[in-house]
Amino acid sequence: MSLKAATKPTAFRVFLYALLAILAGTGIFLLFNFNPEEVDFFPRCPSQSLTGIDCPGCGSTRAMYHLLHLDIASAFARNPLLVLSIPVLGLMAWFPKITLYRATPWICFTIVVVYGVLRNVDGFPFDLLGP
Amino acid sequence: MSEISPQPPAKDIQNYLVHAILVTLFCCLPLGIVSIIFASQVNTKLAAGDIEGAREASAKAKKFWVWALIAGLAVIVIYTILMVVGIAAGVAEGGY
Repeated sequence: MSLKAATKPTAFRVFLYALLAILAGTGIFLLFNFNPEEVDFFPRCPSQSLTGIDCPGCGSTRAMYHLLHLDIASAFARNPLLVLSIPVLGLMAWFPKITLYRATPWICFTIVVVYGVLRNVDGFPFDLLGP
Repeated sequence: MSEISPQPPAKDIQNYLVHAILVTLFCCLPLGIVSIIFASQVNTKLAAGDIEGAREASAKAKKFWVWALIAGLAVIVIYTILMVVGIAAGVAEGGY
C-alpha cells in the first residue's frame, strides 16, 4: 500500500514522514523517561519471543535508553554492534560513496550475520555480545 | 509495475545500505538482512555494467527495507494494543 503511494508526489510523503516523526518522538520520550529494564511495557524483540534466539537487534531498546542518558558503557553491554554502528552509519549517510564500494554491503552483511551467530554462543568472550 | 517518471541515470541508483542496516538493528527482522543482500547486488551489478539489473536490485533493496520498517511498526502497534487491552482487563478484574 504505502510502497505504491510512496512513489506518488509529496502530500502522502509529508504525511508519512510526519507520522514517522511523531512515532519516533513518542518513542524517544518514552525511552528517555522509562527504563526498559524496570518497566515491561516496551515491545520485546519478536525474534527472541518467538524463537528464543538473540538476533543482531536484541537489546537495542535497552541500549537506546542508555544512549539517551549518555551512558555509553551500559549501552555497549546491551548491544555493542548498535553502539558501534551509529558512527559508521553516520559516516555512510554523510559520504554515500562509502556504500557504493562493492565490498561494503558484503562486509556489513558478514558482520551482522557473524555477530548474530556469536551472540548465541555461551561462554567467554561471546557473553559480552549478548543482550 | 510501470514507472511514469524517467529512469534515473546509473550513478543515481541507490543501494539503501544505511536504511537496510538501520531496519536490521531496530526492527529486529530478517527482512533487513535481505535488504542488505540486495544492496550488495546493486554494487556488484553496477560494477559489471548491468544497469538494468542494478536498478532492479535497488528497487528490491528499497522494497525489503520498507517492509521491514512496516513489520517493525506493526509489531509495536499490535504490542501496544495488546498492552492497553491487558491493562484494561487487569483493571476491570482486580480494580474494585
